[in-house]
Amino acid sequence: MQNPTQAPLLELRKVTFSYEQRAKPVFEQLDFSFPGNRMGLIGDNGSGKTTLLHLLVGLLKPTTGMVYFQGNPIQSDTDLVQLRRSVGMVFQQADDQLFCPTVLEDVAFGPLNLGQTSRQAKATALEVLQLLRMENYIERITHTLSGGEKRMIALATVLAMNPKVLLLDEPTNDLDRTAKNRLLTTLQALEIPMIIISHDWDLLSKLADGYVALENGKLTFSEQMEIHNHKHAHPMGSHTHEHQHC
Amino acid sequence: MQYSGYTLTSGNSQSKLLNSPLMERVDARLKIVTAGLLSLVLASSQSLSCLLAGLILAVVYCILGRLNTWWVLKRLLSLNLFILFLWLTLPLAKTPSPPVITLGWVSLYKEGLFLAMIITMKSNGIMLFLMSLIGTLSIPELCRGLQQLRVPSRFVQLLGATYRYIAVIKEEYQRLYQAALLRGFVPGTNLHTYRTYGYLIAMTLLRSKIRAERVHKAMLMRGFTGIYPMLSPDSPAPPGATPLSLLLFSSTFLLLTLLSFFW
Repeated sequence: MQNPTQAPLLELRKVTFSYEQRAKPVFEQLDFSFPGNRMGLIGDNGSGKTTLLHLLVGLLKPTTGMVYFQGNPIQSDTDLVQLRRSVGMVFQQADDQLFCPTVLEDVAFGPLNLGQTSRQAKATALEVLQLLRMENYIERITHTLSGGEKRMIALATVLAMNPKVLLLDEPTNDLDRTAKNRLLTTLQALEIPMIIISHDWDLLSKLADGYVALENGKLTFSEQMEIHNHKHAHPMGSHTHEHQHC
Repeated sequence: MQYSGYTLTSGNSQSKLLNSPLMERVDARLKIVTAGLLSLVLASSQSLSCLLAGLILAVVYCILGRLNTWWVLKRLLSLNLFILFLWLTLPLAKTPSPPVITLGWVSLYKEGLFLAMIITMKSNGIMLFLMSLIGTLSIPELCRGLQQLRVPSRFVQLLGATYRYIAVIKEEYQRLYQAALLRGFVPGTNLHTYRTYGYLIAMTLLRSKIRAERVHKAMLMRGFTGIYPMLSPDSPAPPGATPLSLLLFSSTFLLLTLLSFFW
């Protein structure tokens, strides 16, 4: 998968990290590189998936070790700002991500920070909302949106910055089937590398082309999904669904 | 409990009663400054004629701003409930002059009655001016106006964030409270009740703090560097509206100031 002539998009080298209040480090001497595919990141609750994403974009600072973006080490605050502008992160709770009073203001926040004028930022916001077919929501007050709508707008706020990478932290959490399918279709159509944290195998099988499992602070890569026997309920009546076996 | 931000919007941008150019499509800065000045004049004036004129003009402003009558009355009611206590206590204060009325043990004095009346007129006038001038601004407009008036960015951000998150925090508190109710909590006058409320409030504060950290992270991820960028308004005020409003506002201010000093 990894192209040797090209530096990985995001990389951790020998990163050790621990939260202060906990004695045991979450990661010790961890190496991770993200080549730029659609990578599913799986692991149990509390295994450090979100921590890993936050380390990649400098929201958390490694105790030792370095973060690299497109082969360049992230050292100064300027590097950090540059990195964060290029990486779009969709947070677990959309309410945390949508902090402006109206949808328009929220989607325009990123473009304004990138230096666009008010007029350009509005145009960008409208364009992205149209892409996601959410243009009718432009005047809406953010906190009155439903969970699914909030998730779509959260995605819009990130896409408005034209990111090189998307980091999705449990994007389908709490979504009903309709909202989930809508998000899935939208994400499938995007040609942006992404790392997807999810417990939702259905989503991962349709979206990801490689997997990383996180267990006890160690990463295990597998590029294809393994054959597995499984049982699950189909509460909405019988319907066929594909499993991508290799 | 009332959240002014929440209701401001439902009265303003959702059920729009707009298109009074004098009040609606005026620069937010002008409205904020006018509201400040008029409040200052009314608050400091002792002149009855000035207060009366202020009250009348404030009603006129509300009409010009096409405010919903019920919306206005509801707010005035909650203000005047508070003022009712002044009417119940101030006239009882003993002064050298003879009491106006004596009912058995209770004597009412002129100074106290006068004071209560003045306070009522002042606060109602100021409230009406604020509703017509500030209440007709949306929160984003108000924030932008304050920022343009060089109000420190932190305060403006605080206002915007409060507006955005107060409903979220309220929901969170209610979830906790319902969880307590579902486990058989019955509020009473005892230590257990106080402790439970203490836990609920503390937990809400703690969660809000943790949420604030997450929001800050989300802001950093979208290029936030300490300066909160704002969109400029879609439709600037049409030419003519601003000078006309400026004339209205400044003549109101002059009239009230003159009345306050000379009558």
